[in-house]
Amino acid sequence: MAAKAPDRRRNNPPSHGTTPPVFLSSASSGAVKPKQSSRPPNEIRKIFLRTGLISSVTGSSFLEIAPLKLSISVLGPRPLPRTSSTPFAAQAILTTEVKFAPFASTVRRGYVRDSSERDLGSRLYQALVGAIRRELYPKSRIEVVVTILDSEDEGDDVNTVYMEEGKTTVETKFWDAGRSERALGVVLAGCITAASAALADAGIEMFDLVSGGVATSFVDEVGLKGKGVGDAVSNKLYVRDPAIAPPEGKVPLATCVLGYMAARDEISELWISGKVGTKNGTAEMDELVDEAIAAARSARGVLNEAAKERVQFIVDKTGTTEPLKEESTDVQMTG
Amino acid sequence: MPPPTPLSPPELSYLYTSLSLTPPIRLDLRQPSQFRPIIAECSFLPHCNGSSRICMTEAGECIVGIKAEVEKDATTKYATVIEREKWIEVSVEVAGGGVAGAGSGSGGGGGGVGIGGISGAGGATGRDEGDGGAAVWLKEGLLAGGGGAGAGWSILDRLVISSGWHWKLYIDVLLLTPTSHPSPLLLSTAVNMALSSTYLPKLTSPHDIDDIPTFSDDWAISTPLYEPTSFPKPPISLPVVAVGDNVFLDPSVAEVAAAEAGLVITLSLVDEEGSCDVVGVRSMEVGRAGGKEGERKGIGRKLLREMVGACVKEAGEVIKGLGETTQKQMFRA
Repeated sequence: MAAKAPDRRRNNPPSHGTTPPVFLSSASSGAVKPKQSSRPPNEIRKIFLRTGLISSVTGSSFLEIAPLKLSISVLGPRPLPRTSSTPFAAQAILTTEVKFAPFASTVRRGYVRDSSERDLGSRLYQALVGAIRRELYPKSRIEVVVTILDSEDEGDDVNTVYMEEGKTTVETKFWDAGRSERALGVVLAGCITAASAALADAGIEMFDLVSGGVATSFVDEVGLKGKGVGDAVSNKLYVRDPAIAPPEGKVPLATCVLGYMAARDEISELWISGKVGTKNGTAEMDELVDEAIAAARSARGVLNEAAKERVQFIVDKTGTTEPLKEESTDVQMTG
Repeated sequence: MPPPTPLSPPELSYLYTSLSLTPPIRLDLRQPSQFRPIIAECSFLPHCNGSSRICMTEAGECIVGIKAEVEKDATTKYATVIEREKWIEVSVEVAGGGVAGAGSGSGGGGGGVGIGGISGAGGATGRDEGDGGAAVWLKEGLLAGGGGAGAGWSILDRLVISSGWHWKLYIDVLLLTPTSHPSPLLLSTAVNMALSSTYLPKLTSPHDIDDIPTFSDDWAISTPLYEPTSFPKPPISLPVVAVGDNVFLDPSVAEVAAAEAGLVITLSLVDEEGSCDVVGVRSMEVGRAGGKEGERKGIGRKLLREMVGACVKEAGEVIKGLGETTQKQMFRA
């Protein structure tokens, strides 16, 4: 059959597939412990943010926070298709799409978006939709497409809960709880920050740039066992931009992710998961939200720099081409 | 996109103005913290471990059936967090709608089209299924609720039968009224009530053997999933919107369209007096129609406090009442 015939036009890989070499580190014999970060809890990790790397789209950005790497493309604003089924849109229609690359995490993800990815997408939409001046772009559509290339996922060592033999119940390692919220929270905050940069790069008018922030509250593990959470409230530790592995001896309580417009002092997107207020009180929630806002403010600094850098780049470019323009027009036309 | 309303811009503007007055005037003359009446019954499906049916004036009707299956642990020595989260599967489906929504739970991994597939979001494909996130946040509240991650109590622990065996809980929500934007209150009230009425057969084999567990077939001695007399209770999610400085509980569709900010707050009842713990907050999409351009684009910190505060202060009574109704119906049967 034609399908079986070797393809001579390409350099073919072995038909049986290949396995990448795995190098054991000479030092490690046992399991590798998740690294404890040495940064103080009120400091976020370093962010690398650059815009305008993808030339085929209107605006783009690339963001790196430790292991998290994501790239964002903004398409549009472009006109809605002229079909009878398309309703009139007085404001621009924003669509957001978040997709993990299949290789972005330890467990492979499919090409079809799963429910958590769709959820991230709608959260990102919520964060951005209020900030964009959509009324300036009637009958058009703006698309924000996020591809997550790598995410924080430290392998099976973190994924597994050890179940002691002979025990009737599964003893969850406390620090494993709320793990997916922290992981997704960091991803979402990164998406929000980078998407704002990409929208700014696309030249879409906005009321304010939205930056993302995450904070998690932890309590002592010892203080928690046997006691209610209410007792352990006194020694709470708030960590901004938390890593997956919590600080030594601490148990996560709640995670807050938000999109924050610093110039307007408004929260455009809020997601809190875990126990926050106790007995009708909102003081604990306030503290957590304030921490997340502080994290978002730190990210805003990077966002401002990225936007400024881009503007500077454009100004420089036009600055150098402007004087040349008069002379070079002919050259270009003949060339 | 926010739920489409048949209201015109002038109507929305009028609504916005009347809601931002002090004191505000709601369309149906309710107090800002007043809920609309609901019809609720539970434990009426004979084939389910727990069930409920909720009717709301505007949001329509929905039925929840909870079925539990005995399942062997995917692994014997290690149970991953992801595996554990698969023990509960939530699906939300619209009856009669051409597109049935079935976003499986966040850990569930399975695909499925969201409810929003039938929403009028102008062919914004990427965005639409996002509304099918109902299953995602219902499950998230369930896992976070009842103590939260840190409190050492989780509904998942209640599902462990013996070493190597656990219950798998299927929570199937069937919306009888086709709608693109199901009310969070409707869905979570229904799930809450169904969970409170869920009973699992009593285990008759010893806890510590790996063999297939055996159960008593006497439903009179079955064990409740959530103890009726103790706490925590199943969580409940309440929508709350703000217009100007006013905060409204249980907003109607028109109020959501006119509102400036919205939150869905997940609460869990912790004591007899009706005190609540906040176990989750999510922002909700609102119409932002009727107001002046560019006035408010997000939630200020003060407003956030007010919204959550109003919810925990006023909602305890409602959640308590719902629990009491469930109990009454359970023991009447």
